[in-house]
Amino acid sequence: MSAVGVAHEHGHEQEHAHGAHGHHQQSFMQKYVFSTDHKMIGMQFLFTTLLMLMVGGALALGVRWQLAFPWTNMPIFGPLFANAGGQISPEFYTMLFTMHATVMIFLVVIPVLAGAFGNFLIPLMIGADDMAFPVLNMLSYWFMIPAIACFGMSFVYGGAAAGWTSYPLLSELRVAAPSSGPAQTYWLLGVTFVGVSSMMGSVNYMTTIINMRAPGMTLFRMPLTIWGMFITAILQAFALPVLTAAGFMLLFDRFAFGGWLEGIHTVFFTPAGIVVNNAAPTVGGGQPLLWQHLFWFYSHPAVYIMLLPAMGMTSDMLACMCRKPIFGYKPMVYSMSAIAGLGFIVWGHHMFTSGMNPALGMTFMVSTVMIALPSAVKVFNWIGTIWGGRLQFNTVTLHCIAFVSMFIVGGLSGIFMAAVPVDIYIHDTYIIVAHFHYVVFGTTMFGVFGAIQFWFPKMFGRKMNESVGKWHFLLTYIGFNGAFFPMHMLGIAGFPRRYADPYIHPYLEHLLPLNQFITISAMIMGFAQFLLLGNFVISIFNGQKAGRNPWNANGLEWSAPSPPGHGNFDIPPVCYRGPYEYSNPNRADQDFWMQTDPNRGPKKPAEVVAHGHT
Amino acid sequence: MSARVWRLLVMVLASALAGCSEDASQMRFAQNANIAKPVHRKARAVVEKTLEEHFGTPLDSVAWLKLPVNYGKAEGKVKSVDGRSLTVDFTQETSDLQSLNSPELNHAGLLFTSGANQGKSFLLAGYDASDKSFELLTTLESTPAEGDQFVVAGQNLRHGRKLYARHCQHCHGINGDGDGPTAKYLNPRPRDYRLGIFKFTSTNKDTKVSRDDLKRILSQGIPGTYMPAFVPMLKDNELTMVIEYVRWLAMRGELEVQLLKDLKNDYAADRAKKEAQETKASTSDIEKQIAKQLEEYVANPTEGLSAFVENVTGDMVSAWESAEMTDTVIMPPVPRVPDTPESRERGKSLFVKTDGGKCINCHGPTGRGNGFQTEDFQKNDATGGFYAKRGLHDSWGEPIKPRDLTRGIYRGGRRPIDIYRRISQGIKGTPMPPVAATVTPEQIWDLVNYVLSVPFDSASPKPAKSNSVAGQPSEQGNAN
Amino acid sequence: MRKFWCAFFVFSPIVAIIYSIISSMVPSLGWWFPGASVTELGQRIDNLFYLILYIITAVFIGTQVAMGYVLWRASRSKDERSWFSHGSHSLEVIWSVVPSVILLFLALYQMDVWALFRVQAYFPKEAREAPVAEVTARQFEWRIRYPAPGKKLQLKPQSDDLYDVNDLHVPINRPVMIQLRSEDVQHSFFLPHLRVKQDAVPGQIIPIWFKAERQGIFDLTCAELCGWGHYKMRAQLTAEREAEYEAYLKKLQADQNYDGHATPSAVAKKDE
Repeated sequence: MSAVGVAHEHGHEQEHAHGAHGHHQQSFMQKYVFSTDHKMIGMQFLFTTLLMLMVGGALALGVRWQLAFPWTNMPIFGPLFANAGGQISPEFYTMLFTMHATVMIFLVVIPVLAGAFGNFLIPLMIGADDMAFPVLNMLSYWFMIPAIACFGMSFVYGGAAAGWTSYPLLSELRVAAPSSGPAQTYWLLGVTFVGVSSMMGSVNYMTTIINMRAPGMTLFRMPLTIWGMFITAILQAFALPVLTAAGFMLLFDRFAFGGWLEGIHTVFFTPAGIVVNNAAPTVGGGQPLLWQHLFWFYSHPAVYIMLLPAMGMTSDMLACMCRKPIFGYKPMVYSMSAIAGLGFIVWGHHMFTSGMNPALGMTFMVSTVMIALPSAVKVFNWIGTIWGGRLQFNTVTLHCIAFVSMFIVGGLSGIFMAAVPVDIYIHDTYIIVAHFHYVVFGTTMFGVFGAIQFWFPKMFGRKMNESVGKWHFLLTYIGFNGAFFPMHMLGIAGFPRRYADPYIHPYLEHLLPLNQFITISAMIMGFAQFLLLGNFVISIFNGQKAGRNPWNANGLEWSAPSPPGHGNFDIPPVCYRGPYEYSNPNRADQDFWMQTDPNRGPKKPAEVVAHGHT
Repeated sequence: MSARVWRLLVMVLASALAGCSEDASQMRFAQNANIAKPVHRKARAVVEKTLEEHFGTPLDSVAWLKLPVNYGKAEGKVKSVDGRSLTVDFTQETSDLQSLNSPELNHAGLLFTSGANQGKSFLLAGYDASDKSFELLTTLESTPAEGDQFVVAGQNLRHGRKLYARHCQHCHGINGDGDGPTAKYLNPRPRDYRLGIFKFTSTNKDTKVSRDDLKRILSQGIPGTYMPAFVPMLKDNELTMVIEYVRWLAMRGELEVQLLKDLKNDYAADRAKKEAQETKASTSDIEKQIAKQLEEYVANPTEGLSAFVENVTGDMVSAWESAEMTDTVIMPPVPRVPDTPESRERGKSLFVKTDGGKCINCHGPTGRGNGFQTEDFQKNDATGGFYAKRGLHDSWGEPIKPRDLTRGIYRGGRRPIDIYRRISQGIKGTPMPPVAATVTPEQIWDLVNYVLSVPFDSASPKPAKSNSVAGQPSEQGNAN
Repeated sequence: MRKFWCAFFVFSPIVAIIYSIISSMVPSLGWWFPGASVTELGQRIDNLFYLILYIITAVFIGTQVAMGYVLWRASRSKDERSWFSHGSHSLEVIWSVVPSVILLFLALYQMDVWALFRVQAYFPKEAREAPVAEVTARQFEWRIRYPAPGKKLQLKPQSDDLYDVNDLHVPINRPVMIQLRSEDVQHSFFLPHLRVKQDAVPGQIIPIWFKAERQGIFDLTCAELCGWGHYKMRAQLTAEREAEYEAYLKKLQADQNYDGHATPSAVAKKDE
């Protein structure tokens, strides 16, 4: 069904359901722009994040270009430097990696998981007709727009360039870096808006999941996607306020209004007597390390925010594709909870070399090393899920397997960093870059790509093209591994992060060819995403039509129409079993058993119906 | 769909990779906007043409042999010719044979100074040291005879340019105008070479900076500024090449500035308009007149452009050459007076004297850099009026503060001889005056002793101090 | 297609392992550590690295083989239905307990190396009592202040202190300590060959100790984003024999007192 068809269906349902209103169809603005329908909001998030993915990717390719062909005319960005002979300037490079990370983390990965899929799936999977707070939900999307606008404004001033970690004093003193003027202020405002948006979402999700589950849907009958979203929402609720507070502290440290307000500002992070760029010495009494503690207190749970929903979704997809229950459902739930809980007490592992008290280093080492345990348990359980299953290699399956495979790499490489003495050597080198790209891109984003293709039929009533999807997977996988695996070696060789021209250092000169290989792979991977985008857009209009349950999956969402109308379910769902009853021997006639299927025993073949409810 | 998608992918990739190398169209010298603005555009075009003729473009530089720049010159005579291969003998005394090993020899120019090809330059592919032969990129128009003289030059300059582009350009700009992309964020701004003035020299006040001085600045950096120490980043021979390139840029800049200044008088930007108003003739007629006058000026062999260029470069060449002479280097005639409290007292009393050197007028009575001159309006010699902002300005028109001696940061070097030279000859391009004429060398040493003691003198107020943080002292008195 | 995809997912870990083996076994490629550690403590770091590497390689191979196996079986399953299993309690226990033990062991095993590096009480006494230099990181170079030969480094600069930039000299074969400061923003003192790294925090003075076991010139780079010139902070550590080290300091002193005449004139020892 095309988008226009949805509108028609919307208005139609509304007339039926709200007869007392006598209300007419919603306006274009109400239906598509300022919609309070969680599905529309989810799609708004999805479209926005896919666009931001390309922006972040372009910035990354700029970084890679400079590392492969230093100081040569960079495509697209080079002509901006007419007065520098087409060479980018070193501060431009610092902006590239800063904004790449900022856009990817705050405008792509977190919104696509929580905003796009959280929004779309939560009510559908738990059997609710919408979120607990639809207007708050709408606001959570619309707060992303000022965030994007703020980051855009920062580009007007050259773009924030103090790293996405934005450590003071570099980010705090206007004279310390070209970007530390208005660009940094806008960056901080953008992060604040993203934080507000996430908080709104998190409150909504927690309330919805706790309160609005369909009858029969106990907590331990929820699909792991919902568990992932739920635990993520809790993480966000507890961690975000710290980041917002830190952001405001930094903003107030940076204030310097003119006139009689000149020089009135806080000094949370500013020690006294520092002279930068021949400016007046700072007045202070603050501590730069405080920012690191506050920032990482949020940003470490943030990486689990960027992981847990994808883990949940992959579990669901994998179980469906293998036609088997998830191996160890409760251990999976407990592992996710353990990851989240432990995630709050490991933030110091980003600060081992920072100069904080070494005793803290020891405590953080233990907690960080232990966080590998629940992750390992999950990996074993995924492998256990595939074990003994019946698998077909469609794009969804491929993405899920890649998820698990690359999570193994990413997770294992994390153990090096958890080991404090080893971290002394590898901190701020490319092995860190390799690790987090494996977990955020190789794991989460592959999960997201799989999820897009898995739930696309539910969103648009059509399936995405399989062969294009497979080519996209192949190119992305090969490009990704070609780009990021060699970075482990770079890190072991001591290749530092954030260097515009590493080759002036004698011990790094020989690494240029390897960097060129990485850049070429990254370009392949980057351009392959156009396949996904093209597939996505074209399939909305031309994809093969799909029914309610094209994958023969068990979740409540598959009992709703594709796409679901206003109110989601034409018949209010009741949940009779867990979400992973695939190939249950009590159900001999089919290899899945929907949660909403009231039938409790074997069915005669003639009475099998296409959808789960009567 | 897939075939089309593939083709599109390839096209996008290909276009993305276009412009892989340095883009010639963007890497070019720009004119000095401030000085060029009042000059008529046709006159500016003449200046540009002249500069391009003598200096070329950044990617295609011309080694103007008249200038005292070490281009990596090798000269000699042709021995035999074989197609594109030229076997030669070198004039050992005037040839830098080492430079022939440079990879920059590829595309360097070989100029014939005698014979059938006299005055013509050909591009080189390479040099074979085993049989002393050059490989040319193109065939020669006329076959050179045995004994024809040639000069090869430019490979050092090209190498220097590459190093400059990598390490220096983003601050100092393609022209050496101190206005690269990073420059506007730096305090103080990077040096603009085009006045030919460098501040921290060992030479006397009337002499330019020497190669040794430039090498020192590159090796030590300028503490308290964003000019870092480039050793060990640059090897010794790389330092040499960068220095040559910087000197070349400075000379180019000087010529540009002089040409524009000279032409400004007769060919002002608004001349056409003004004359049109006065004489009631049409602007286009006057423009034609201007064009004709310029043509005549350019063509005039004895009093026109070429003569002017001749004069200016003649002065420039002797100025730069004399900087390399040992007699222009300031060496204190007496060793340093022992650094005793008495010496420091003498120095201090010289420092605070209100006649003579007038140190306290700028540096303040305690050396904090807060003398009354920092509040006065300074005369602007260029315009005849005063600077708009209070305080002191340098020759580049930028505000400049006198050094705060209590901080112990000495931009030109902290050795006693460095301070001696600053006091004796002043600092070129700044209001810091030379005092050699009015004090004896011993007195200068007393001043040196005093200045070096200021950061440690408990009597003078210290720079901003604060409560220590977490028990750690935070005073930034590291005198560096 | 099944064979292709199963092979594909097994192939990439194999490539990864081969690539890693080549990188570690062929030092001339330069895709591994920049040579053996110059310090003994750094060698212990390398040993820890290898220990972790062996453990995770075993886990990696194990899980990827298991993955490949289950993929293969699942993709060519002749059965009508999958094995209906919600999990196995005993397996869960095994694969929770065994990794915990290994991980806890790893965590606790490394504590003493960390303490040796960082806890001042564990620093060798001779290093702690007589720091050889104060290294101040600034945008974008390393400024070094040595005490005059025969004197101890003071917190406040002394009039006879010696200064250099971007070239830190230390004697070999004895533990030395430097005091790390920052003049402006955060930097990080990184000696890759010695496996030393410590952030320089403005407003703090942080001691770092190490003992170079052999002489040479080793890279010193910055490892914390400090602005546009972060990559430009190329410096070096010159580890040399005691005699050469002292000669260097004497030469520095002579240069620093240079007044244009061959012998530096006597400098009166008047401090405040």
